[in-house]
Amino acid sequence: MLLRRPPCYRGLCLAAALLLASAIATEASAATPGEATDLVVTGFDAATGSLSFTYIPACSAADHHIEFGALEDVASFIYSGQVCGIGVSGAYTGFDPGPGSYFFLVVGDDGVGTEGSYGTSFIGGAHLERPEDTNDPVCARVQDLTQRCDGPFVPTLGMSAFRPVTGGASGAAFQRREVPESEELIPGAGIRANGDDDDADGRPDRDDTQVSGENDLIEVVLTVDPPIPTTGYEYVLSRTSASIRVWSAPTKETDLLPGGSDVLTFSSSTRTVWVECPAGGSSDLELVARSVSDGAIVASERVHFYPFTSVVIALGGENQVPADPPLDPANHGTFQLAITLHQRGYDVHMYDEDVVPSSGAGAAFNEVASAVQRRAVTRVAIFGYSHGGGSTNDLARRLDAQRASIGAFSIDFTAYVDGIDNDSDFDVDPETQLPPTTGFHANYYQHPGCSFPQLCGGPVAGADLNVNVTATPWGAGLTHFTIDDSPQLLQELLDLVMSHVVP
Amino acid sequence: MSSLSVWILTLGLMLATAVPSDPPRDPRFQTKIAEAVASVVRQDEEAPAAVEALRQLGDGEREALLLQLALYVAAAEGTEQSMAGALIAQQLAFTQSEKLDAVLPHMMTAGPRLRRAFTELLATIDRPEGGDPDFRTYEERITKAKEAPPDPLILYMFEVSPDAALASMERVYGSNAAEQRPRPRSVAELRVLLLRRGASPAWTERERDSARAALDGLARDPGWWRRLYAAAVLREHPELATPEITSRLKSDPHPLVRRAAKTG
Repeated sequence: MLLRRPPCYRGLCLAAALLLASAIATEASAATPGEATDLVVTGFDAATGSLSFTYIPACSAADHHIEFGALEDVASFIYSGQVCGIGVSGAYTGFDPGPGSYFFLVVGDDGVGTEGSYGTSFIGGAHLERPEDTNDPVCARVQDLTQRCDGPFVPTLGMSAFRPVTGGASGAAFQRREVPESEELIPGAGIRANGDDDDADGRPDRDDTQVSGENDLIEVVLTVDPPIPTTGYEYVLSRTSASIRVWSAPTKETDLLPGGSDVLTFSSSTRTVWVECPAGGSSDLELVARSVSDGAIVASERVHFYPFTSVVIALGGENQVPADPPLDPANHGTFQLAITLHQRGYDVHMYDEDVVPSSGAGAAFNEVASAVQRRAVTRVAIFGYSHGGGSTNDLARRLDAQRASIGAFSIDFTAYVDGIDNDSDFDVDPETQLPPTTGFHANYYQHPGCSFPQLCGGPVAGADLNVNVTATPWGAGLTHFTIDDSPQLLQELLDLVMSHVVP
Repeated sequence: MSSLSVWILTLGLMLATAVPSDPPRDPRFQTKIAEAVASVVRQDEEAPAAVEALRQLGDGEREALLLQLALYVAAAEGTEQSMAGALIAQQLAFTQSEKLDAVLPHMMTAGPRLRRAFTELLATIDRPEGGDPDFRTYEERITKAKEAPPDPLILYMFEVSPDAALASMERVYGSNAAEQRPRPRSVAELRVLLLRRGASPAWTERERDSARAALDGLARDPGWWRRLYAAAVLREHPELATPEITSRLKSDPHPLVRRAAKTG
């Protein structure tokens, strides 16, 4: 047995080598431990062959264990045994690996199954982490250095913004749909200026701190790993301008960033906040992990918010009930298009066409008027199928007639898909009027002769695009009941909306 | 007790106890209608013959045929059935009188979907080209039964357009010696206020007070059709209601006013 008080270098004691390591404290996925230090052999009992040592426990360690191996294997770090559960006192007495010469080290762990760093050695010409014991003959531990408390703090941050769900009088609700990662900065997440009055209390919602029925805030899910940052670091949420505010709930409640920036705590790895755009204007929302002492940012995530300047109204055919996902997916093309536009970042409102009586009044009209008067919207797009085409014209006519009381806006785009006049549910006349002041009107119709029993739209004088699909290779077989589901038609309409309407 | 008051009492009891109930679906008609609709949806060559068979089945009972078609459309699912039903109705070329005779007897007791089909059928009479309704076409029928006007029709008119309905009622009843009074200024005031609110649902305090004062005046007017107008406006603008006005209209001596106030 060759055991004596050994000289130590970087935790490695020659003759009897001591390698100190730290362990991971994983409470609530907090930072993982780093390396225990200052290992000193303090005593050797020649009679028993056991030795005593002290060390500075690893940060965040809930326990420590000893890893040891034959001295001749120290260069290759071959471990042959373990002593488990030596605690966190920083001192241990009675270590006896048995006859022979050994090296050993102390590794911090979480007392359960995760261990921290074994420290570093000069290996292959560089200071590298010593290899872990993968055999674990006594106490099984798996090394995790990803969030070590004494290492560089590199948390994983995430920020997911969602499209507006809408719903209520503003049209059928959309599914909760995430803004794609690739679009979080350009173009960003669309948001409505919140000047309307969803709780009907006579005040714009932006002036309220609690709004029942609020549907204009954008959900943002913040993700951090670990939830509790390493000591010396903090998570900070900030906005780049006062164009947005951040609330604790979809109904507003608590302003989380009254000063524009604040330290945020997490009780788990995710936290949901709600972004409001009080009166228009763009802004970014940024989540960072930074050093408390010097503000150095070690990780960041950012989402850009742009205010909607347009609304898109989608009107289905008679007896088609708007929904996302569509109630009849292969038969509700209008709503499929509306959903695609929603995915692409438009402020879409899809309605049953019956909300638009022949006078053009009603929920869709109110939505557009409210958007112009209270949400800084200046552009309108409307499209519809069958009676929804007729309602498109009815709505556009009323909007145009009421311009003086509504405010400044343009009707940038309108479209009929085999439009049928909608003076009543029993109306079967083709809708052939051009919506007034439309910036671009696309009119798709089928016209196989149109005597009974055919039901047809028809050409619209003055339309920018009149397509008789019956005369096209792709639409020759379409009828009034199938034209709205044609993939070719839906793609063309999508392209037209996107090229003529700015979100 | 005059015959008018007996009638009002009877109607009042009827209205108070009416439970929506659609007339029964007649399999004779429904089968043929379904066949014709299916043929139209398929766009096949047999559709004209199917409609002709329907026409012949309804020979001598056109109102029954239209009622059954309305029942079919009311229960229709999807654009296919709805629009095919509408196309068939167009082919059968019902007259205004046939439409009114088919609809009015069942208007008060129809369930919501059938009632919707009825109102859409009537829209083909009073709004053939869309836009605001023109109820002049009904005035002859109302004038003929001035003491016992067709309540379903009047309620329909006030439901569709209180302004157009009031104008019709003034033409029919406004010259009655017993009830002739200058048209209240409150009507004009209210119209201006409502028009101004057409594109913005927010009322200023002053506008709201003015509108309520006008409604209060109308709710006290001796002409029942003006009180009915007040009830119809309140249905469209419940934010203008006050407990006093609502209470007054709900206990109005005229059953139509009471009904409109209670369903508001």
